[in-house]
Amino acid sequence: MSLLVQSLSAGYAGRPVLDCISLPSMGGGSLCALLGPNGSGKSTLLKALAGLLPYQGQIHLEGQELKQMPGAERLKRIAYLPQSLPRGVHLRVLEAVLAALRLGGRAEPRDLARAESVLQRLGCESFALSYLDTLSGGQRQMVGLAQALVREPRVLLLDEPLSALDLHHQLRTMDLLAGLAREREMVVVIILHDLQVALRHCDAAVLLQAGRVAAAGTPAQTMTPEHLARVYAVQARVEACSQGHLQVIVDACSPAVQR
Amino acid sequence: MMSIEISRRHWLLATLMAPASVRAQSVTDLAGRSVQLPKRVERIVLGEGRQLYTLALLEDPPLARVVGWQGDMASFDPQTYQQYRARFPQMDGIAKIGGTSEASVSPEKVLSLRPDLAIFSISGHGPGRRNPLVEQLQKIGVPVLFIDFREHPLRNTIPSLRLLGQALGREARAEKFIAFYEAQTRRVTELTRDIPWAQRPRVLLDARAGDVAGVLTAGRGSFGELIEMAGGRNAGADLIPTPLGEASLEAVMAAKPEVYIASGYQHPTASAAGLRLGAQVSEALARESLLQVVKRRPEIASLPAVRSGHVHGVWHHFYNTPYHVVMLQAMAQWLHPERMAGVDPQATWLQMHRDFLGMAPTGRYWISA
Amino acid sequence: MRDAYAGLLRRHGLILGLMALAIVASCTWDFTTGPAGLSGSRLLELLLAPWSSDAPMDADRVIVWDLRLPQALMAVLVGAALGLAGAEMQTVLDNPLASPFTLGLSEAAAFGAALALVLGAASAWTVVASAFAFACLAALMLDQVASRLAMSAGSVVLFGIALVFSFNALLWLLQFIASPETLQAIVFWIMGSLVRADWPKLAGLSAVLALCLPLALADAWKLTALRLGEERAASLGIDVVRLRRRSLLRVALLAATAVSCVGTIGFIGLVAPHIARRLCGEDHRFYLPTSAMTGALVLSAAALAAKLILPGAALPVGVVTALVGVPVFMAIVLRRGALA
Repeated sequence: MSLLVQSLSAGYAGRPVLDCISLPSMGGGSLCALLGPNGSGKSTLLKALAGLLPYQGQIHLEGQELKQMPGAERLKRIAYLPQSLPRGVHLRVLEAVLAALRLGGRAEPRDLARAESVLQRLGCESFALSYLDTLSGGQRQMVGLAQALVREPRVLLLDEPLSALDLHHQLRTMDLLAGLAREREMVVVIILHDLQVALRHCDAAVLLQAGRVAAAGTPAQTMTPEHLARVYAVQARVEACSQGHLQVIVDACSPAVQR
Repeated sequence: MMSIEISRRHWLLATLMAPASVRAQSVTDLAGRSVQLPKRVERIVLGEGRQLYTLALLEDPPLARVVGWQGDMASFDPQTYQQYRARFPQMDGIAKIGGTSEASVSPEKVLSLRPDLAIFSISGHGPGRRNPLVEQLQKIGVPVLFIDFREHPLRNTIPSLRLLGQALGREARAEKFIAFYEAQTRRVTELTRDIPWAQRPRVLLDARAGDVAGVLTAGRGSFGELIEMAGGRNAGADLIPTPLGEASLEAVMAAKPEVYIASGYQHPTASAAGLRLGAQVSEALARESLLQVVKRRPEIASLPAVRSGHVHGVWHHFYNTPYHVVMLQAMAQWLHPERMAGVDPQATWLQMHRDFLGMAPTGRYWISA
Repeated sequence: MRDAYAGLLRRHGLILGLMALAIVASCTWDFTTGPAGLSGSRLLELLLAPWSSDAPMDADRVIVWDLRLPQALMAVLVGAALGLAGAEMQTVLDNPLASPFTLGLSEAAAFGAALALVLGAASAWTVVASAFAFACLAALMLDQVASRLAMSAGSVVLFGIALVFSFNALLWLLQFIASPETLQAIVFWIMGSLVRADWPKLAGLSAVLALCLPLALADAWKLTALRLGEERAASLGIDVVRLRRRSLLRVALLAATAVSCVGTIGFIGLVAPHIARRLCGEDHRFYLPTSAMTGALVLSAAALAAKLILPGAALPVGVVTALVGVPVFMAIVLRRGALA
């Protein structure tokens, strides 16, 4: 199981964003953090991987080029969870998960069982029949994940999944994702703003700046003081704490980066 | 000799039908429809309550055969309603088929009354010719007769009267009134037809004066036709395209009318601000309300007509009945007093009431400031 | 969980069943009410009597077959059409205040009718056809804007509002130049009233509903998924632009037909979806039919209420729906304000 990106360029009408980027191969069972300032192309990269944007270059999934893959096949293998989750949706959790599953239109007898099992795995049983608009942010996030996971994808793409969560739920979600990645040998790509989370939970990291790869590799390799200074215009240190874990400590702002 | 402008077609057809010894005849109504008049008419439905004015000329008691009517009579002219009600209290018991608009007419109510004849106006507050009720009535064998006194009074009044006469079996009465109408009209047209254009004063008609924000005036048709026949120039004809419509105050001022005629119908204790005229209104009250109507709007007060004192008022409901012949004479007298010395609208009004309505008129129906 | 879900599905089905019963009850009561004072047995007699073509017809017969029955049935069908159209619109435009008439379709139809009347259209069918044509024209414009420019839901709504104002302005112009008779006919046509119901119109509306409801149900899962967010739906493989386009075309057809039949009847398309949402949630397999049925029930009840409030006069049903719709509408808005 591998995901390989080579010479990828993508963007929107009249606005190119990603400029011929290549990433190291991502293997199954790994969590990869996608980092970078606003406008660096993180969401665009994720959307291109999800098949929502046209792109130039190559994306290989398990050896097959995405462009050659039939649409239904791609949908089965890649799941994308966008950033904003709509509010005020008067749909029950189970119904929402079933909706994410049943896009062919025809209901299969196994569907209910699959939905049930994924909700159980994510600990959502207690509110499986509640309405989405009565859930807390953390619960809604879990439901979103359930929708993404119910198809048993090979690649899971998450756009800032932690932004609406409190501290407890952030940690819980990351633990869960790491566990699922390993269990199902999925490649999980997560856009994160919190460098600490990336450092602590992820196996790989990619740092983007202005549509180009500024650094890639393990989190420790990617988040060096020099890289952080160049990309985020901050003075930071990366040091081990008393328990031996690496921590990012941001000291001050530097003057803005010249673009 | 100049006669009243009426459609040749209607005139011809009407003369052919005139000696109405045979019933169950076929006529053409004012909507151009062919109508089979029934042999006997006992149950009539009126599309507009105010058709009472015309019915009273032909029928006595006026509502004897009416089983259903629209409610606009009581709402729009309570003074006349009271007048008739005093003599015919059973009027209150006549079924109402609707309120004061076409949309309020209940087709089911009309059908359930099982009339033998329905009389509608081609425009106004009752069912129009496109109303599905017309077809439904035809299905149950009820003829629908369309008449008009409102849109083109000059050409449609006599044919409408004749049709009503035939439909109700009152041809003789109808002819008698038509003769009266023609004679009284001729008295005006004889004197006005050769008034040169330059001597015809510009007249502004302010319908339901004080009721609307701008000025509701007559274009081509309705009041406008009567003003022209009375020897005036209708200022509204250049301002609006339809028989009755709203003109802006500015346009009215720019037209510089030389004579101002307001119309109204309010009763003495009405809370509304318009001109007071009708069966219960005294001369003093009528005059005072006319002055009020003019004073209240500075744009009107500044018109040349008002500054030179040529301010008059007429009963609004004249516009929808053959009684307008009296209004015609009153207007002619205001516009050309020297020529119209021999014309006496009050005498005409009295004669009409005596010979056709069987009652003495009360109140004021036209007034000068 | 599975059992609970099965229970839920049963409950949805039960609601649909109960609503169907309520509609039948309301329609029947509506049918038996009216100023003619026809008894139940007389009505039954007239319904079952064999068809005779002798003219002139009995007045009671005309009342039953030309007035009561078409009007009662029309209330149900128009309510269903508007309820369905409203539900689809609110989903596809992601706007709880969207309704078939927010996008200018009824104004376009009114303009079409007025134009036909002003130009002296001879038959009532010409007027109806013109109304329908202009409503479809407005729908076509919306469709082009929504698909070709791939505009977002918000922009489609704004364009629709622009259409409302434009057609309204043109309508005022026509009313200004119309003769009194034509003006009266225009005003009468625009005001929503079941009085103009007849059998050909019923047939047309039934055909349109029979076409649109199955097509809408075929898209039910996709519409449910659309509620999860446009991006989410797109990532699940749904062609959102095309889905929106199909849906809007159905809405246009339903609304254009309804307006051409009975004029403008407001609030049904706005309020029925909200009630349906409270009753059964947004699983569109149930939400769409429930919204249609709610619309049918509300309009049938409003028609009945109109007859009961003022027994003599014909209170246009549009007045009743507005009177009831306004407080419900306020309640919705305030509730959402409290939630937000």
